[in-house]
Amino acid sequence: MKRMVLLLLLASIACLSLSEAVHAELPYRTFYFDKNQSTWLRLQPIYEPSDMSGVKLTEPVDLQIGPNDNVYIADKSAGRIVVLSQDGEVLQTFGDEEGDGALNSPEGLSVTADGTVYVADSGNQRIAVFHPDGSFKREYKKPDSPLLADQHFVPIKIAVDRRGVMYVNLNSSYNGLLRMDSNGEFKGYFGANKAQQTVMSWVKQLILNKEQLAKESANLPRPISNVHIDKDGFLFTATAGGDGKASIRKLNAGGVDAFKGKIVPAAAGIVDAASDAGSFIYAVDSLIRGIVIFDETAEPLFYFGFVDKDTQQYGVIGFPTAIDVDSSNNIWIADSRIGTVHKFSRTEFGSDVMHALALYKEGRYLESEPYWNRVYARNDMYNGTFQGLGKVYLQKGEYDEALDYLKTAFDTEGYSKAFWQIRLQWLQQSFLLVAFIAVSLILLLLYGPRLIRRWLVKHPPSKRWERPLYELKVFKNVMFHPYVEFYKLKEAKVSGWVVWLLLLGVLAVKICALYLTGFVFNPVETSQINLLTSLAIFIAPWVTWVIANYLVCSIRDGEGRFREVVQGSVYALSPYFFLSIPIILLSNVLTLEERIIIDSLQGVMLIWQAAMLIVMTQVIHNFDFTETLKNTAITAFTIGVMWLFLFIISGLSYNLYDFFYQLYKEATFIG
Amino acid sequence: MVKFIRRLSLRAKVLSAAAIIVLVAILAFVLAKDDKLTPAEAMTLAGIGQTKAPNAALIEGEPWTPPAAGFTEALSNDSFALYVNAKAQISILDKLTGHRWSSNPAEEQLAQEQVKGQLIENLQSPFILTYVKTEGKDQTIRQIANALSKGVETSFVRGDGVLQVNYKLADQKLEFALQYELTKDGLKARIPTEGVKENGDFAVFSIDLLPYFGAVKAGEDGYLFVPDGPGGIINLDDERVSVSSGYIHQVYGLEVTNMNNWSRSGERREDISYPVFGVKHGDQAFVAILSKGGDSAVISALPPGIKSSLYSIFSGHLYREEYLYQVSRMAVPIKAIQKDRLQSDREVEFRFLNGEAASYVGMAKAYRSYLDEQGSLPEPLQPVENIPLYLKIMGGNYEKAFNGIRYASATNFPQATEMVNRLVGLGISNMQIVYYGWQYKGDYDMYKRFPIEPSLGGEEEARRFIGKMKEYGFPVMFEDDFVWVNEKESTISGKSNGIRGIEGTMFVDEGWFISRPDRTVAMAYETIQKLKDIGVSGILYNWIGEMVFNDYDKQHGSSRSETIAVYRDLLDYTRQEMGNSGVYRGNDYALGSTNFIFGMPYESSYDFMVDETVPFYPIAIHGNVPYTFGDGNLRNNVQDEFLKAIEYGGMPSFFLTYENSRELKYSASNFLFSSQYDKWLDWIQTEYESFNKLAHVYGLSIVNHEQLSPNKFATTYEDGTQVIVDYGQKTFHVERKGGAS
Repeated sequence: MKRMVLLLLLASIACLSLSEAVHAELPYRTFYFDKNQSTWLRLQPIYEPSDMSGVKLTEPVDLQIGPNDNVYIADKSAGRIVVLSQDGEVLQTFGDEEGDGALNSPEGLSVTADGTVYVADSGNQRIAVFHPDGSFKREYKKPDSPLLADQHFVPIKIAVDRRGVMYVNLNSSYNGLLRMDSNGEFKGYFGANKAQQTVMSWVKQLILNKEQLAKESANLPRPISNVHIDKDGFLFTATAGGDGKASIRKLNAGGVDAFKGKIVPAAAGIVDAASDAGSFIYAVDSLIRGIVIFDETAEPLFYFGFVDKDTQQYGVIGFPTAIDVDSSNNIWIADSRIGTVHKFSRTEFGSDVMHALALYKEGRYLESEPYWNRVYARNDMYNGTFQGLGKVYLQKGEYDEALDYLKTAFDTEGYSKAFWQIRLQWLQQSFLLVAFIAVSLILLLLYGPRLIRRWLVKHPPSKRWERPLYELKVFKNVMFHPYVEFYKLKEAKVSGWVVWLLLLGVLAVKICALYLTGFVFNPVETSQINLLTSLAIFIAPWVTWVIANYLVCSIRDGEGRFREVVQGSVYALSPYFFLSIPIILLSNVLTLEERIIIDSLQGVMLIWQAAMLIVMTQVIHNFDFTETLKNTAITAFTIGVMWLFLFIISGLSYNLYDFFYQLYKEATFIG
Repeated sequence: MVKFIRRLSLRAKVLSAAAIIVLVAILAFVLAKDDKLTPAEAMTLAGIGQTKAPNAALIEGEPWTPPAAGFTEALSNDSFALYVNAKAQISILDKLTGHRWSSNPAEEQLAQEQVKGQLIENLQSPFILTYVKTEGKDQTIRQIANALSKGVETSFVRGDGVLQVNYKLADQKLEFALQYELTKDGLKARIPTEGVKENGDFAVFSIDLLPYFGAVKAGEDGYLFVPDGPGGIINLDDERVSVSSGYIHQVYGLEVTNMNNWSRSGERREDISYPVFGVKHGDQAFVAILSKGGDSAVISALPPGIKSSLYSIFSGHLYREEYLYQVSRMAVPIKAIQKDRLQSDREVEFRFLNGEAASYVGMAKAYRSYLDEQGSLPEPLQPVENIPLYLKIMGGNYEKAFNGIRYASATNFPQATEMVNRLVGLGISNMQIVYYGWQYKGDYDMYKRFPIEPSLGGEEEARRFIGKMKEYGFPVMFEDDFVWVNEKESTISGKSNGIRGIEGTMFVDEGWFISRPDRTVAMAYETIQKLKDIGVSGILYNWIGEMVFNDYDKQHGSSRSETIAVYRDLLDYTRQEMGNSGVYRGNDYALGSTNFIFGMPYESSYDFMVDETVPFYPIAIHGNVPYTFGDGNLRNNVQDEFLKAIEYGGMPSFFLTYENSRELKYSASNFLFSSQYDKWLDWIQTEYESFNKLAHVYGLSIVNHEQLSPNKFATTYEDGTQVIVDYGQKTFHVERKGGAS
């Protein structure tokens, strides 16, 4: 999933049209993730690099915003903590003087609400604590506990909660965070990642014996990259690797992950995560090379930024090591390659969008309306706006507006709700009309065929039409009396044009299904449907069935000839033809809550279809029942083999085609 | 009929069949013959010739030796004197102030340097030559020589007010000459191409000219000026080390056909639009203008700690490109050096400034007079009652739908008329209109433009629209792109019309190729003839004012300077035929030939080195060429960007459509995030009224610009009007001389 998101992102960057008239203002692009379409789309910048004097650090590896919006940075090679103001001016440094407070390669830090600084002093294998003024307070060395006998105590990251309990991330530790209370006593491990079972490891466990298993490298859980405690006391852990599974976890006091170890898209290379007052999660990711903003359920919202180790521009990060967000929602990123910090501030547009989203997430739709309107005034294309405004109108009771907006946002759930309300209103207003239509439909269905028959008896059709009409009637009857009707078809020569007519009819129904199915059940942009591909996908299985059936059944002593198999297969499509029509009609009037009707109709259609094909096989080839089932199974297997064969052949011939194509291109370019 | 044929003899049948085949062939040939204009014909019809200025001549004559050790006077005029010493270092004396500018740091400064070896030699040399081999497997190893290198012979020749220093590298069999000439404003330093001789295996790769001229120590009062965006200032701070590795960028951007340059992942930045740099030290300053060969030069500004302990800024002149040569699709491409040298003279003109003029404003004014002297600055604009609003209208573009291509219309011509009527009703009485997307099926086929897109109304509606606009007095221009062409969909082939890279293959970027300059002219010529007929008053050219390139085609190749000449002549021809021509970004070569510039850079590239952004380029051209920055409805920070446009003297512009811009969502013009004019009417009116307060300075030049406080800036115009912009309060006000406005 993560790979797909990443690929989609890279693909969308690559396909951007070249002859854009707009020019490069920011050194990176901004995208938003459209959940309904599962793709990343361009957006105006929501964060831009801020004016800040370039502060010179040696190797900043961790960063946290303190209680008064000062920026605390752990400068590893210089062995000190640097405190910056909002403008990037150095306010104080500590940890570099001689004495107890001298730090050696500090790799992590955490600042509590009163300004006390806890430093993961990795070189000295201790936690060093400093007063807010920078003077050394105390240190915590490895706790005395028999349980920690084998554990190397090299703290690299640290988070401290309100009570002063320290969650220490140790170097290369697979046991999770080491919890220490304010007295330095060991309180157990916390929040270890789960080891991932892959298919290979399961197979190995099955096959290999104990000695061989002992030689395999241990399948250990991934170590945590960074930790962060938010304003509510939840602990966020960032773990890189493994396709993004459990890459961001939100742990409560009991160690339970609110995200349930889910795969967080666009976070497989995560370096650090932070959260702001509005519960948005900001992550900096070295694989996707930028900053990703998630909502409070770890669904991706926005992506921007760029990582380039040779960067000479603010806003393009050389090597990100840490991220944090201050009270004005500015993003600070520590960059160890360039030796500085980057500050990003929200643009006006970004402010409006984030405010609107925050209110929307809390369900305060009416309050979010003015922000959405401002966003809409500056961006007609951002789907989030339409979703937001759609929900606003839904809550306000303006259902027609809501329908329009939610359709644009491809939000089927919201659309369905609005549609339900509109339908209810319409039914209430036009109850009589509905009743009249229902009654007339029923009468038509009951008495219509009888009337038609009587009319036909009075005005019988000419000789030439008798046979084709009869054959078309069989198309309807074969659904209800398959054995009888197929027997009639056996060895009958149905005229070619009737068969073509029926096939075209089925295709026409399919095209109607593609374009006319109600929005709730088919949320696609109709103009962007690739008709030829969709039809090809529809026809191909039927064609392979016909070929496979004929081949297999003739070998198995079936009596059917090719023409009969084709005829029979065409007639066997009648359930699809007849049932699709009510499905299409119903899909335009039902809502998601009533989808069971459509699902069951489709289920019935499929089963009926399958049954028809089996009956056809039996009757046309004159098998008995068990033989039929066997041969149908073999036919299905043959279809699989045919597809595999086609797949291999196309792979091979693609190479041949590609060779000639490249040759042609060379010839046209050179010379 | 059949019976008749059967009765004919075999000979008759064969002869008649042959005759029919020949006839068919001739017919097919005649019909298929392209009766379109060939590029060469178009060039002659448009009067775009290939006139080249003659190269600078080398001076022959008596060798001259500086008599004494130390600096001796070699040249002199009323304002300046040039001194030279035996090591060929030069020193310029400003006779007015007595200040001396030297090409290299003094002995005391050198003693403090901590670098050794080649770097300390570079510090004492007036040039740094990089040479390579063009054959063999160690081609890309670059070696450096300077005036102090072993085996370098220096000799002087003087005559005609020019001092020529000949350098001969005996071991490498390379020779070149540096010429110095004094002007009334300063110094001209020149490397004539006739003087560059390569007689052995080695070849010149680049020459850095006067690398330490005017180099300053960190911590001094002053700054370096670099052409980053509208203008960038590098303060002489002590604490800059290790964050930046220098500002080193090629003028007009890197060579687009060179695959080597594409491996730099995503460097989105403002390319250098004008080849100018400068230094301010105390109350002395100079501005250096690359008057010749600026298109193949690199401007470098180095902080202390990279090559020396000084801040230095200089131009490096490129003679060859290093490129990646793709031998096969599987193998890693190998690096190679271009065999042929770029044959163009290189010249840098230094103008010295002192006192009040020693600032970026003085530098801009000096650049302005340079442009004027060259004839590159148009006449001052006629004064106007009301400032012109630049209205860009997007007609629409093509989109893929229902397995085909269709045109998504966002503003057809009748709707455009309605839009303009509404705007006039708001009180906007002066407009310049640019219409986009008028081509047949938009940008789908970059070669076939006509007929004008029918769903917009076609030619008839276009004429009606232009007629109505003429009644208002608003000129209507059409925008087009004659440079990038998409291979698959366009009806001209890339093989004969695209530029080629150094390795000989056609340059293609994701299916798009760049059209050769003469083909660009051919397409533009035809378009001009047809649009002139309809009444269109000009063309906004995409890419012509922003991007130049070398075409390495063996037969029809052209260098950057030739491309520049063709583009400039095309802009002149357009103005002559239709009345107006416009460009984006406005590189300096386009200034003299264009009526307006869209999208002029107003922001820096967020470079580590650049500390402040100053409006150098706007000061140089305001009052002669109108320019706009971003469009009012596509801003990120609405208020700040609006104030920036006021501060830098820009014009108001909006990019609008009649329909909701969501119509264009699946089209190729989906960058218009919000363009429906209805939504923006109020804002347009407010903004226009604000800009209109500056209507009286429309044709005047800017004489001063300064920062009054961290958030307040003041721009002063020729007639004494002062515009004070406050980014803190988000307001501005205009003070006319003799009272507030």
